[in-house]
Amino acid sequence: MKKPLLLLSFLITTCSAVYAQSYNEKAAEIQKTVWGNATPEFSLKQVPAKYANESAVILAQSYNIQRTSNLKFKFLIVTASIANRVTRVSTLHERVKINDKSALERYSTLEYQKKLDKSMSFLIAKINDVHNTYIGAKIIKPGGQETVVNTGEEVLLKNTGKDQKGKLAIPGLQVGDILDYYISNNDLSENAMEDSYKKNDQVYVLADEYPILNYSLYFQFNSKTSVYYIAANGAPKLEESTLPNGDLVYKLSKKEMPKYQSQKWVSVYRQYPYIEISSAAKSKMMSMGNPTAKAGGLTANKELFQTFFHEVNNPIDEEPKKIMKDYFDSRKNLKAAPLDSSMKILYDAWKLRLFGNFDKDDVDDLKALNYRTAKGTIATINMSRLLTDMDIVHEVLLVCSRNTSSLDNVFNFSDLDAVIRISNGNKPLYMCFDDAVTHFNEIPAKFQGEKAISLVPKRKSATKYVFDEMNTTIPMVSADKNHVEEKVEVSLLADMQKLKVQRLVKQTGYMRHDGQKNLLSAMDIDNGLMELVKGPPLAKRLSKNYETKKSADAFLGGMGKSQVEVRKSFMDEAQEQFGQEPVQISDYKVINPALENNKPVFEFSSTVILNNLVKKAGNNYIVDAGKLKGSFVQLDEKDRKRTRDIYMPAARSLTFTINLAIPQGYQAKGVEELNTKKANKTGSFTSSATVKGNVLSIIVSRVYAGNFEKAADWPLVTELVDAAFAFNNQKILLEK
Amino acid sequence: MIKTFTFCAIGILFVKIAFGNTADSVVTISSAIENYQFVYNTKTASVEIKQKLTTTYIANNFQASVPVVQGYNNHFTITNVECKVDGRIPWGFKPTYTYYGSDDIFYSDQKICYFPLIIPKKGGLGIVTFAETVDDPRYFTNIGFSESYVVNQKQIVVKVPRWMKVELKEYNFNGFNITKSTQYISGEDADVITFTIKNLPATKQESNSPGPTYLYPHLMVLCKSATVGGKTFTYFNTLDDQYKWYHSLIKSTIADQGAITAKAKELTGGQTNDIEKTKAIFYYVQDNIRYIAFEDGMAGFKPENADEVLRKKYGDCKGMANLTKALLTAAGYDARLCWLGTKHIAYDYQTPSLAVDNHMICALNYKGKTYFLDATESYLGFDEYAERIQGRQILIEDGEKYQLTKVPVALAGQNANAQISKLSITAGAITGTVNYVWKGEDKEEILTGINSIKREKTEDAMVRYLSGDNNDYKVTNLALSGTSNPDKDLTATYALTTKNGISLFGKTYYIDLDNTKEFINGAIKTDERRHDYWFSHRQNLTRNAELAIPQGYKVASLPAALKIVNPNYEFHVQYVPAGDKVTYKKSIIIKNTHLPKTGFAQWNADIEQLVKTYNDALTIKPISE
Repeated sequence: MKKPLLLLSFLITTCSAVYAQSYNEKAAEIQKTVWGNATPEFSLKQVPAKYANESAVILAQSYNIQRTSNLKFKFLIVTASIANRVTRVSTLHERVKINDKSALERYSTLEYQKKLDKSMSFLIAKINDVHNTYIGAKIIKPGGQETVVNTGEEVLLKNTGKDQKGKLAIPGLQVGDILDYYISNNDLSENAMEDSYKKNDQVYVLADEYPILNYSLYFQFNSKTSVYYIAANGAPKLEESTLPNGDLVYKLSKKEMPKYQSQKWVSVYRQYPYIEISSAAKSKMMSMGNPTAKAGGLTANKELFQTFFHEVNNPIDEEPKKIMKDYFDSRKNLKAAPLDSSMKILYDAWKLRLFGNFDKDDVDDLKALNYRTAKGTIATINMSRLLTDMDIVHEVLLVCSRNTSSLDNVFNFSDLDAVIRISNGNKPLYMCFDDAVTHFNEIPAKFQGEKAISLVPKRKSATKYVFDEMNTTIPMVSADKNHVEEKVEVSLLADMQKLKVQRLVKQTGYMRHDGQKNLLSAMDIDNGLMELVKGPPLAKRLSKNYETKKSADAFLGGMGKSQVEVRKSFMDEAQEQFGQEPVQISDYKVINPALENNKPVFEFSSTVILNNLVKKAGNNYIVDAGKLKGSFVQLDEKDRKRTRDIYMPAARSLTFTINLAIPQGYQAKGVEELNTKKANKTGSFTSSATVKGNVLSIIVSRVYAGNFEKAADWPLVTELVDAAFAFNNQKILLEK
Repeated sequence: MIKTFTFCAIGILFVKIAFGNTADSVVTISSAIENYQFVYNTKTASVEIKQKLTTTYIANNFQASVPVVQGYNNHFTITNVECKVDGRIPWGFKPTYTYYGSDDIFYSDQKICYFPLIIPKKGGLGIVTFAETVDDPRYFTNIGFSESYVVNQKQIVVKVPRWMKVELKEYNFNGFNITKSTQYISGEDADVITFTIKNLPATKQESNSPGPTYLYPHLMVLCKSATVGGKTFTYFNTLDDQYKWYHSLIKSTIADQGAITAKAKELTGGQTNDIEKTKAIFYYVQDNIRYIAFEDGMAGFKPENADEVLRKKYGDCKGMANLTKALLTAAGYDARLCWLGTKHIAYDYQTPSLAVDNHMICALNYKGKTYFLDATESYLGFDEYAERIQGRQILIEDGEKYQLTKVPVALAGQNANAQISKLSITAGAITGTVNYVWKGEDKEEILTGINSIKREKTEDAMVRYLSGDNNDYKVTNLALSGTSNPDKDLTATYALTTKNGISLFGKTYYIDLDNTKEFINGAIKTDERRHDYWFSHRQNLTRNAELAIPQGYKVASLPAALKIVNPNYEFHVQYVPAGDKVTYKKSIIIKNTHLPKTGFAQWNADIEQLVKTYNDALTIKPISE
């Protein structure tokens, strides 16, 4: 018995030793390549004086990716196949001067996936999928002494045969040192599903946490590779060339790259220059059955979008139409219904179909149900085919969210979104597929004002749709439609220290979505969606799916909110509004859930007791009146200068009516100071106050006129921000 | 700073607390049985502890999910895990065994076995059993009773053969329904001690609370010796035994004495004063050695070689203490390594056990005084002590023997947060200059914050801190003292303009001279809080704001003074008029960092008074009115 064990043990030991040697040899080879072939910038030791106050300065940073793909013959059990073998070596090389302890902390540890083997074996066949990471580091002391770090001092946080995670604390590193390190990821994959533009997508934003003196990108692909890249938002084009062996090279070098600085109201993928690049095997054979594999850019993805109309490959989900028909009970009723009514029901039926159905995993986090969003492109394609079938004239609008890259910079299919515009005289109707509380004919803020491509589909056959195409723009929604109206009744408690604040809040459009998702339970929303179309009850829907049927009790029991959870939701909302945790909360309730677009105003109320807003002053009291409406944005000094345009979340408006009961025997002083008016083309801030009897009424209004402002208009925006913030600090005196 | 053994030894107690889901009770533990048995392993000729822990969970909701987690390591082996839900092994049941990761610990050999226990039906039962072996009684230090969930009934059964000398010391039994019985089994010549616990509340994590060994009922297991198999094993029968073991681990902790000697010479060169030399060494380690907790096997107990710590520029508490000691010794001073448990731990060395300590520092004996040097406290000065070690019993190496003493309790003046300002009213705003001085742990807090952010953002961050993140409190010309000299106080001076603290109605000014208002939200929610409250450190806050009364004005009303003095804390607030000035004086002193639950009502009443005082404004009127 002992002999085989010994042999096995020997084999394991030998294999491990072979692997270790092989890994170490490869590591040495990579080290020689990275440091041996480094450009002169990686020898820099001096930092220009202007960077002396920076936490760290990157003297040189390079990303180098080399990819080779080749077709390999693979024997399977009774047949053979061609596999695409992709080898990819991606190396980040960075040389950084560390100027303070914060940067020392940032660079003192390297953590990496040392090895990951996801290869799959099928008897004699093996599909390789192996990842190895090699690291190297050297420290250059201020006196010039250079020490190569012994990477063997790493620890393995995970150490199974196929999965190793390494972590290295860089020894000897101190403030004032230069750290020159690299992380080289080596991948070998024969898994065709992992080889697509989507999976291999790399984005390089041309700004970093620290200033970069020398920056370079170098991508090399063999001739069997298909490459697509974009240079967005003013990023320079990559320099392209071909090596003697036919390899394609794309490169870029830049000097003095500024660091990224966070600002209010920006859209990173619209405003910062970046390079996005990806690759996939050129062979058509390798992308069969995976049409997205090499769809790069707007045109390719638009065409891809159109191919998804194919009814055989992508059968139509008829359920929304069925629900709509059931709702109207008869064909006659349906035909008699005005277009906006029938389309509303069809849209609401889609919502119930999507958000009223659940996955077995949903039960693990029922609180997340309210935050689910639809895949707009997929929903649009299905709805468009239903509408086509119903002879409803409509357009499909291809668009990008304002929070992601622009339409011009679409790279992958997932960058695209879509909505439907139904012809309806001069009042077109919109179907936008976003969250569960979006109404029929409501355009989400992320699409408002965006350029779009209009596609008018025509069905030629089940497998062929053709499209008329033109450019268009999705309309803006005015500030008054994205509105918060809050009525606040305020009185001092007997201790003359605390305030009782009774709130009635009404929210519309963009301004209601967060409130709905936070204050309503998943069950409230589900009930609402069901009632909109007289759909089947939740229990019935759950029972249609074997997996959800098993967990039906958990769904039914867990989608509601307990009293404690409801209280906490309202408490959180009040805390965010007033910037302090209320001493008490009571009488909190949702008055209108606004799931029905015929009752579109989300309405709730609560009563809170607030502390620290009243000051005693002799026999008098001072009330922080400006804080009774919650706090407005304040600007830091660094925010006052701006060169980037302003991406507001939406055009929006807020109105607060505050009625403060003046205690008997007191008079309000300082009322006139509460009157303010500032208005410009970017919006307005106004406040007015009057006393009638024993009630001081303050009306505050803030309007953000647009969802986008030019940087040149930033002073106009700051003028309003400052006016609103100044109001926040206004007080009134209750004089005895 | 926490050594490996703390985790593994008190594994049951801590691991469950660390991963417990206390927010809402998805399950109740209807019953639990834990069997512990000392056995002699003839193959390894050692005493082991066999454990079998069986827990029955009853679901309070549908689809109740419990993250079941059990820690293990080189001495603590999980030999079997079983799980049944409503009588069946869950489909695909497969526990995950992995390393334990934590933000505080760079690397630890502590591992965890975990799996989600999902009970689909309300009222359904999940039964989890762990079989475990501890291979060395020294590592078997605690048996915890509490769980992250309410326990209806639990039995802890400890079988001790009479060849094993062990003491089970009971902690925090008061107020809990725990009964104990002992039975002698003659056939096995063993005593069986059974603890039965009923209606045990779930553990609850709260900020600023004492460590779990203060809070929850548990047994400290003191394994003293065993005589079995013709052999006698001595564990920690006395503190001598524990020290002997510790001492064996620190006998050789320098490999390259030359490197140490050269560094000590470099650091002390040019210094003639002994204290200055020792400071130079201590501050070097503080400033240049990054704290990284590295706990692997014996490395959890044995310090890294001093020369290695010097080379790597990082180390854990043991490594930093060892380097401090080595450099001081090389410079000719009497320096020793010391072991201690921070305030987080309820025990001291009266109970010799690996659970007693979790920290190592260095002691310097100089001219009859012992200075304790803890280089992990990056910004505390020489002879200053962090709250977490003050007054703690400390075991100091002394060759083959040891010394047992206490870390001094710092003088009241060690910590300070003082603001002095000279203010006037200009164009409807309060303007003037403000000076701050921070000392001791208050200084450390600020410096830790400053050094955790990027250099170019330091001033921004400091302005935000000083203004309470309120743009209306405008800080200009900020001058911050150097932050690199640990011997000096940290100071800040700046010019101030604010309209926030002043209101003008008619010709009358209403003024608030306190922009910091410490403890304004300091009331403790007595309906929610379960544990005592421990302040992070002793506090000595003073504010002195002198306001020049504008010409033609007089003080119309002064807020009432506040004076609250008790043995644990003091609040003093007063407006003092003098000539054409009025001075706001505030002093808040936290003398005792431990605020017990019994003191909450008084504390809240006092905080209410303090808040009331904060919300009282000074009134200044024209003399003519």
